[in-house]
Amino acid sequence: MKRPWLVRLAVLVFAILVLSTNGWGYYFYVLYNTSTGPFNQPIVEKFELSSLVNNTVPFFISDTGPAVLAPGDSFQAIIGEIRAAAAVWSNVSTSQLNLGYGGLFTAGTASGSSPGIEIEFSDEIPPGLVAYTVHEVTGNLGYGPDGLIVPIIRSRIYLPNDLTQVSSYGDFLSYSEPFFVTLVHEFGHSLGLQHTLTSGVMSTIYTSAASKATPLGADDIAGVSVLYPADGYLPTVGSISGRVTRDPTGLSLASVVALSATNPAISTLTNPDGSYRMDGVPPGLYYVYAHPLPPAEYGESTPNNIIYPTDVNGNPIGLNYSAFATQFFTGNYGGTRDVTVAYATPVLVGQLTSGVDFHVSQRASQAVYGVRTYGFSPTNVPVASPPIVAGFPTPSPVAATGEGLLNANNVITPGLSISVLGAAATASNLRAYPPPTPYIAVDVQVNISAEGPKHLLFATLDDLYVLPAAFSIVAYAPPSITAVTPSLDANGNRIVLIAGTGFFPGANGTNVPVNTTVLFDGQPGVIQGTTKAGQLIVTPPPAQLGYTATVVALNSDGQSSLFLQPTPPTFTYGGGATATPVAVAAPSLTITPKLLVAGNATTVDVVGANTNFVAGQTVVGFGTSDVVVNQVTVLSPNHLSVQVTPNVTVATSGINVTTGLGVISQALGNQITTANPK
Amino acid sequence: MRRLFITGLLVALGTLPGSTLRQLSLDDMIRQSTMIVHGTVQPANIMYHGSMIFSHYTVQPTEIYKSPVAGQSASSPIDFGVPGGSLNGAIQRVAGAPILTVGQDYVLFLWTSKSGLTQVIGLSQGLLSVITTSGAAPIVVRPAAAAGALNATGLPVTTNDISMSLSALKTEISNVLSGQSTQ
Repeated sequence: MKRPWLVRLAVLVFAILVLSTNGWGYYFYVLYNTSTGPFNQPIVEKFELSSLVNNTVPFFISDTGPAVLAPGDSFQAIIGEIRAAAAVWSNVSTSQLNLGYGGLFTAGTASGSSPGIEIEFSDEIPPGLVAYTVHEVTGNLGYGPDGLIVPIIRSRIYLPNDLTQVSSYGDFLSYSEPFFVTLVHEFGHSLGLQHTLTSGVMSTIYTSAASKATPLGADDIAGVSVLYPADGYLPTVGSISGRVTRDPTGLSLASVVALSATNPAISTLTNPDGSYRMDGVPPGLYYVYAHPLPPAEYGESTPNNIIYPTDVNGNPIGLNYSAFATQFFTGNYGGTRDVTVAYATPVLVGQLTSGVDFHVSQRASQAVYGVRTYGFSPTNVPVASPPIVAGFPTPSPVAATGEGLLNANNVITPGLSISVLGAAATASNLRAYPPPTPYIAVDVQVNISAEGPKHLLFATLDDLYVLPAAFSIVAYAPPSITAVTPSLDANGNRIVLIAGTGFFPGANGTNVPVNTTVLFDGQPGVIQGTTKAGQLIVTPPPAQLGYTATVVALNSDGQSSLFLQPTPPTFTYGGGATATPVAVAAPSLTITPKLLVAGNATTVDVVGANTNFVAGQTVVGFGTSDVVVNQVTVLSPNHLSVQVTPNVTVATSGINVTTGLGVISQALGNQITTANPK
Repeated sequence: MRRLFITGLLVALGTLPGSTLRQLSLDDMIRQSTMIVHGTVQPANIMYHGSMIFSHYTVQPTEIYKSPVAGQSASSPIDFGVPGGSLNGAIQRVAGAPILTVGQDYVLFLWTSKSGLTQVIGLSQGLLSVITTSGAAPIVVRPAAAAGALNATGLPVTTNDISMSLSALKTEISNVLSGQSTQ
């Protein structure tokens, strides 16, 4: 029987003092075991790995889907994009946590008693919100190999039930950049990550640089990796620690960031006593700076909408400052706003670099904060944190909006200057848009073809603001798709010929562009090669005949064909060039046995009609975390053998079989059909 | 040199990805709320709505500026829910949920869903504090950092992206609802 968490906490205090680490990069949901200090032993909310099978958190999608879809969209497409967003986190090789699709669950019921994540479509999301995520914990503490934790029992992601009336977007299309990035962001919350300020996917809208092609920043990767470290990960990275004080008070929830001209940013927030420790930092030389959290903006309830850490009595511990002057670490007491004289702090493999302390001076308010940058693709599609192609002969304009850049009538704040950290590019010609558009712009000229995210420095007369990943340098223009042609290969298998531009060249002399991915409603096709005419030969993910999927190309430099073509081309399975709908018999399943008995490992036999099961691509779920699917064996396109371990007795009628984009749900009357054929 | 396209920027401001919150202008809140109420709040009960815990409050109106019921009197308390809370051993927390001070005078922009659950619009966006100082007309501000943010002298920090007199807010509400807003 579990004891009340305060009692358990008291019992385990000794263990935590001995065994747990005292910090991390990025920011988690935090509890301290004291109300008076010392505050150097944070306890975090996370999934308890010992309660998971194969370190996998199952996620379930409400079987109702959205009540109203954007025109041309489908529930299958939404499922495909949700699965892809979950895979972003599973694919972090330095984290041992996986997200496993457990199928559709019955809306309005719990998807089991074991830990999991539910995605629901809600009518209760008020205007001004797009989505949100809720953790459910019990207050009991758990204990894992890395110390005390607050176990997450269940996370729930709420998406709008009407995807045609979403704040700011109107139609919220499943293939779009915002839909996907929002999903990845919410999954990050569901795993235990809070907002940060380093332009990763866990940043709020005001500073995020995430894209569909490269959704995760270094900060996001370090965050999930430190929260759920893969075996052998931590010895491959280093740590930075120190304290942020304002004579002599330690500052709570100050942000400390490590970056360089060639390294993306990783950050953390200080403990209530001003101490911090940033783990998961790849070895290298870093400039480290401390800056205040910005004031809450536009109705945020706290700065950056951080859920404050709580003390042992459950009381929130917020900021104990209003603002202070941002400064880089100089290796001594001083600190500087001039990055050219900042100390390049070494981070070594498996080592802690300590004593990176900041003694900051108070300010009434931050001079500049909440800045976001934009540029334009060659077809004038606005893109945040824009890519700038190296070798372009003329400078590229980068626009920015944020607090403190402009005074009344769009007069640039006196003394404001903008520069690029490092020598890879230079910024010049600072100017303002005419009122009332609250933007400034600079021209960025790439000097060195050093690809990757680059950081901008916004200096005022007496303060500094650093925007990590304000833009990126790329080698090529974005990909574009000019034609999608159904075809068959020599063996009669379905393929798609993708004509276009900007696909990455093949690696190692092959003609397979390994750094380009072609998505069909979020699920990747397999690029087999290229034709003599330069078309990509792609095997699409399985789907039912007549199904129509959007086709999007992504390059590993962060660019997407959506940058050029906001409305992507489509591919209809089995259709000709005119995409004529094909009459298809609905698939169905025959399941044996009808009942899974609690505690009995069972083999479930699944016989399909009009199905096309594919080894490695067929996923089976029962819509509950209480049935663990151990193995799926594809015996034929119409026959599966599924090894399961039920923790409760359930009927097998709740089975979901997903192959590529094809979703078959017994409970929903077999195939989920496309509501609005594209 | 390529031109910057202002139209494109305005689109970008409204549509780029990142987080759950989207800023509502004051006029957006006036139009999209189902009720706008001036009054003080008291805690009520905590209950589930579906799988979500909501902490309920009541606002005792001193004035109602917008109501789905024409001529609704200000006598009856109005119930609304804030996402998150603790119930039956389960704790749910929602980043950005409004942080309310019991007894504080607020103007609340409320929104009622199809199921009948009333919430503050835009999480905390529709929560404006009414501040009255002696000898001066009341002003409304959107409170920020309400919990725990202190300045160097230990005083609460408030950063307000809406700050106007209560009478000006009432005029704006009236103008928007009558289609005369200039914003």
